[in-house]
Amino acid sequence: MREPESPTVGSGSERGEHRRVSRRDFLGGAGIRAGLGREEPVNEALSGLSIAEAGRKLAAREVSSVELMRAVLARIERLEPRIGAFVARADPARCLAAAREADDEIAHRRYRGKLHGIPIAVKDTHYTVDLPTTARSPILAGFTPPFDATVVARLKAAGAIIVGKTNLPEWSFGGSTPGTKNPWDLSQDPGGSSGGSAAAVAAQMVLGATGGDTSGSIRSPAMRCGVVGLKPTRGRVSTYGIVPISWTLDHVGPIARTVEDAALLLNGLAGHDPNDPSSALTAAPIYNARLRRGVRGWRIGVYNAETLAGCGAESLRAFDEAIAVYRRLGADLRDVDLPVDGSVAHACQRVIRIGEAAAYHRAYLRAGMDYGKESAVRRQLAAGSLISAAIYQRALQLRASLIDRMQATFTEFDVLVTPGWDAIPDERGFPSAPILSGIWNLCGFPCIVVPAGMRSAPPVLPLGIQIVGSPFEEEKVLVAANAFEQAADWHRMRPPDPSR
Amino acid sequence: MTERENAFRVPASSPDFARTDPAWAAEALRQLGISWRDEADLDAICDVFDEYRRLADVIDSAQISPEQPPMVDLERPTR
Repeated sequence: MREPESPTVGSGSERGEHRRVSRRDFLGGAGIRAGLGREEPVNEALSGLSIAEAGRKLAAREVSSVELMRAVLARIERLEPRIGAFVARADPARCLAAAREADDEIAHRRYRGKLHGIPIAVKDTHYTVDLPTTARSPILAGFTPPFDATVVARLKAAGAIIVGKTNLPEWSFGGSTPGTKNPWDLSQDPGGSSGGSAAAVAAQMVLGATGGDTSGSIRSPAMRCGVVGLKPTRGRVSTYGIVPISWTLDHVGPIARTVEDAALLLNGLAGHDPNDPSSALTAAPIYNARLRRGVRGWRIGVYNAETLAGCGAESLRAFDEAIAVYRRLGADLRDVDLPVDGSVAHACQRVIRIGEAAAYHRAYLRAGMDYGKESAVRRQLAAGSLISAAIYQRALQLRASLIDRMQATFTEFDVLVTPGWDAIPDERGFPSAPILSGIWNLCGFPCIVVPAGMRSAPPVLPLGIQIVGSPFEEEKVLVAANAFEQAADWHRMRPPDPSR
Repeated sequence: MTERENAFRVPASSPDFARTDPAWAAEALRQLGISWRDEADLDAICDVFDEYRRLADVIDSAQISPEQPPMVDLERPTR
């Protein structure tokens, strides 16, 4: 029987430059071994460096990008069969060639910045000219886009090296990621929909990754895997060349092991994109420039008791401890009454999401394209197609009104801190946490989750807190997150090595 | 008021909230050019649509000025 074509080869004019690796060899790691070379020792520990640390070592030429890449490839070879974070991977020989090129540029004083020579991954919704983009749907199987998504192009221009595309649920629908294991407990899901990215970062198979967030899909898996996930302001990061769920709710952002790394990745991702009509014109600052200025004297908003009533006990415990940390850091904490009816916000977010998704999928649905026998998404889309335009427009009106009120409320504090959420949502979203997660997609405000402890009861998985800011105030969100991270130190936790 | 618009009229909180009529859904999907596999598939689509009708009811019941524009520009705060 003929073997299926490998997902690891390049495409188009580049195809001839790369060796073909069969699926069997790929899964067995022969491709990686061939790329690595058998004689040279690999220091796998390098894959655990933060982007900031690796960037400093690369710039100082204490470590080479090739050494870093070899560490990452070796770790992926060892752990990927257990974790299942990737949908497709770049040819290892090609990754090493890119790393050699980065080393050469750095040696010739053409250092591009902290992402130069850094191995990363992107979610398999991001168009990539050299790897297929499937959004985990049979409809897009084998599709290799003719251009890179803007975020992919930006990361490549910054010198980052994309080693693979990460796993997600079908079309990014859902809060779990079938096929990917949580590195903290292999019996557990990593959360979703950017679960492959969060798992790959947590397992130190890459130094950073990107995800997409329509209802919490960066933040939920980041929290569940004990890493940092940032959803920027709507318009801050281009969504051009990203397979959408919902044009007005989708966000693209970084997943990293530290807040500083999230800032460095955001430096690479952010900025105006003329190809994206929703792209902001507001200039993007250098997000790591003032990261350590602290929160002394900052007004930090805290959800009031009524709002917190629906949160899980474990999340509330981590939240209370985080509030105590902020108090010690000199912040002025104040209760906040959000000007929002949670059920209305949830309804608007859900209706806008499925209405726009149904519009995007209309051609596929009308053509009777095969979503796959087990697809839960097709029925969602068919039902979503029946929602009236008047209801959709009314949801948009309610959203606009909510944003107006929310912007006024956010003038009363610098950032808002919320608990995390510890439930795995069903495939239709985050019903247990609409006031925590989807509401910030609805408003488009920036937010970040950072590790804030561990569950005390099984499954013993990480917990997090969330920090929310006003539109385009990612800097403040990052400063508040960094202050907590450095004081609480939860970011140094690492999952057990699953192969030992 | 069309039959389709009427589907949204009965509040989800009401005991009179009626399940989506599969015959109505079948006709609506047919008009949209969307097919389904069999009766069980159509029933499942109706179940999902019932959930969206409940959400639509929440949206319909919320207070909002008819003058409120639906557009959002986060770079130009209105206050």
